[in-house]
Amino acid sequence: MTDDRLPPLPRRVRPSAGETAERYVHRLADANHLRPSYLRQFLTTPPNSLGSIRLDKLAAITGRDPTALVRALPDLAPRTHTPGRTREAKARKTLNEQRKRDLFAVIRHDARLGMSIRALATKHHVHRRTVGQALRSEIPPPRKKIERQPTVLYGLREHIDAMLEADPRITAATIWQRLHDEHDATPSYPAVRTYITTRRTTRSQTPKVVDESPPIPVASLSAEVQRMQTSESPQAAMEGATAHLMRLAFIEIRFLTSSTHDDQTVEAVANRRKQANAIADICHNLPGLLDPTRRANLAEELRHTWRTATARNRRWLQSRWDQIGYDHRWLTDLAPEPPSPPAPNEP
Amino acid sequence: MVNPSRHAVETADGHRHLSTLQGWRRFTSESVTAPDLLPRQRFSSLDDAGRADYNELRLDYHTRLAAVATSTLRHVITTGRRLTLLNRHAVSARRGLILSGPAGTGKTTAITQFGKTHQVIDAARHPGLTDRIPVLYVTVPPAATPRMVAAEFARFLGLPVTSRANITDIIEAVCGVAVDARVSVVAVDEIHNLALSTRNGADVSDTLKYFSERLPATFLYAGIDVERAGLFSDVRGSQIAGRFTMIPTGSFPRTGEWTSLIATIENTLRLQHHRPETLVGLADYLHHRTAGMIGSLSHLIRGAALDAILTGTEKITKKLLDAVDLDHAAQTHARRPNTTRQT
Repeated sequence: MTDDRLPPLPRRVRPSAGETAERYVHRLADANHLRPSYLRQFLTTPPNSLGSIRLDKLAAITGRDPTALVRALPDLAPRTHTPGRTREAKARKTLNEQRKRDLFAVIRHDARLGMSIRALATKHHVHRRTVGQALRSEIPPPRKKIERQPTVLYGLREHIDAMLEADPRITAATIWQRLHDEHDATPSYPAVRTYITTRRTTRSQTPKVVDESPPIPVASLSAEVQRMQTSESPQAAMEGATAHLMRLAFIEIRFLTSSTHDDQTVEAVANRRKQANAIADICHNLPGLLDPTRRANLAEELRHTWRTATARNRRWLQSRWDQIGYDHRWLTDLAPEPPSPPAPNEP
Repeated sequence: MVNPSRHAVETADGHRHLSTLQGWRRFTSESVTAPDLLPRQRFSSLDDAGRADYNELRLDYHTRLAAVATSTLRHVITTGRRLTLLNRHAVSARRGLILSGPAGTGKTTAITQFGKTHQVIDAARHPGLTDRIPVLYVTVPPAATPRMVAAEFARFLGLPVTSRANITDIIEAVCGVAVDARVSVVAVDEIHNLALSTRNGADVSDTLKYFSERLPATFLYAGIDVERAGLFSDVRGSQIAGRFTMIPTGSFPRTGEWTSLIATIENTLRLQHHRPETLVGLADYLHHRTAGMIGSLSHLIRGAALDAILTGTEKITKKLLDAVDLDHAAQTHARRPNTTRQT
């Protein structure tokens, strides 16, 4: 049977704006009560393989014009390969680095002539910080590497890991199929296979969890706080710790309420909501406490907050202070006191 | 003017795939219009090309003469209509219809004509909706397994069935789509291909039963002598017998209806020199030849009409009718039991 003789599916589905072809095939399968992986594999050449979607087959089973389909789903268009993109990027990088080295050389030359940092910055249209860098070393520091989550298999790695855990002999094709059918995901087979191969070969090492929310840079935070505590007054340390506590709270609330969580069951969502609510409950007074006119009373207010906090909230506060390295003993030693009596400065 | 030969090829293709949704839709939407006969003088003055075109048009017309409204056909349509209305709000134990009778007695014609009627009624009740599939028509393949029957359902709907698909997935897809598309009549032809005495036959019967539970539709079965084939014996059979209305089809007795049938068919003929009432006069002869089988009668008259056009005599005579049988006896499946009966 040739491809154009494939009968159209009984239920028709319109491609929607901004949709990928893979997602469209999923919707098509859902409308026709077929397994997504089954329909997806039906659309490849040879049939039932794991290749890419064939435009002619998709056009036949949807009863739509191929050109109209390509217009609606641009990723169906045959890939156009632009040769030498990597080489170009590399050349650009080399050129940029060369320029920066030249700039540093000129700045250093001018500095040797006795120009001030400010004058150098003005002359070369750079920040004084850059001038400082140029004076420190003639080799420019490397550019900061962009920390970016890989979008391939985003949110699916945990599921793949769980499947591998449950059955180490599971095939990549089965995992691909289950991701399509059970998790409503549209990963490509090569991506799944590559990830699984990597996982299998690096099994003994500690697994790299990529999907977690970016870890809070505790080290830098605590260093900062400690520096404050050693060099500055207890009041400044307290203010710094409070500010950091707020920052942590916001990050955690953002994490808890983000929609990227894999576990979207009702209980899990409710649980996360409760947690976020508790954190917000603890911290909602803190911004007010840092008000310039009220800062003087910060110690008193914090004591009050601590005393009236629930056990759960206290645990949270203590662990976060530990995290940022704040010496909280002056508060936590109050713990044995009953939380019920109101603070003396309560209006 | 449309090129008649190309037109003929297209429609023939559609006829062959009655058990696919596209073919079925073409069948239900097509209406045969009789070509007008040319005046005698114009006909005789036609050149070769013109005559070929004219003949081709009429040949095509005679190969697909409209079904004749026999009493059986009317009975099936009324009963089927009543059952579909009764089943419209039935939650379970829907009633069905079985057509049973010897080969060539118009079972398939009756069942497809009912399907066509139902489709037209449904389209009239829901104007503008093109994605409804009111009728599902499948034939039971010989030596059928449950998977094959489920695949037949899927094939009609246009759902892809590959070797990887398991029966559960196919049934799920068929039921899901059928419910979404509001299937209300399921016509299962060649039901005699399943023998309940064999294991596969019993399994297929269970599969059909399952479909009838899942689909809110009226089921129509048609098959050759199903009561003799054991469809009603045993436990499964008794349930079928309890839920299905049986309409027997058979040969027509030599009565007034037979004569009026022939008159109806004769009126649809488009032959240049045919004298009206010739066939009606041959009613006794035709009844003897066809043993009252409507399928054989249709074949005989249509065959003779085609011969009349091809040979250029342009009229059906007893002699021509005699010749048809001899020439087509070996090929025409529908008339084979008839020839044996005649001896």
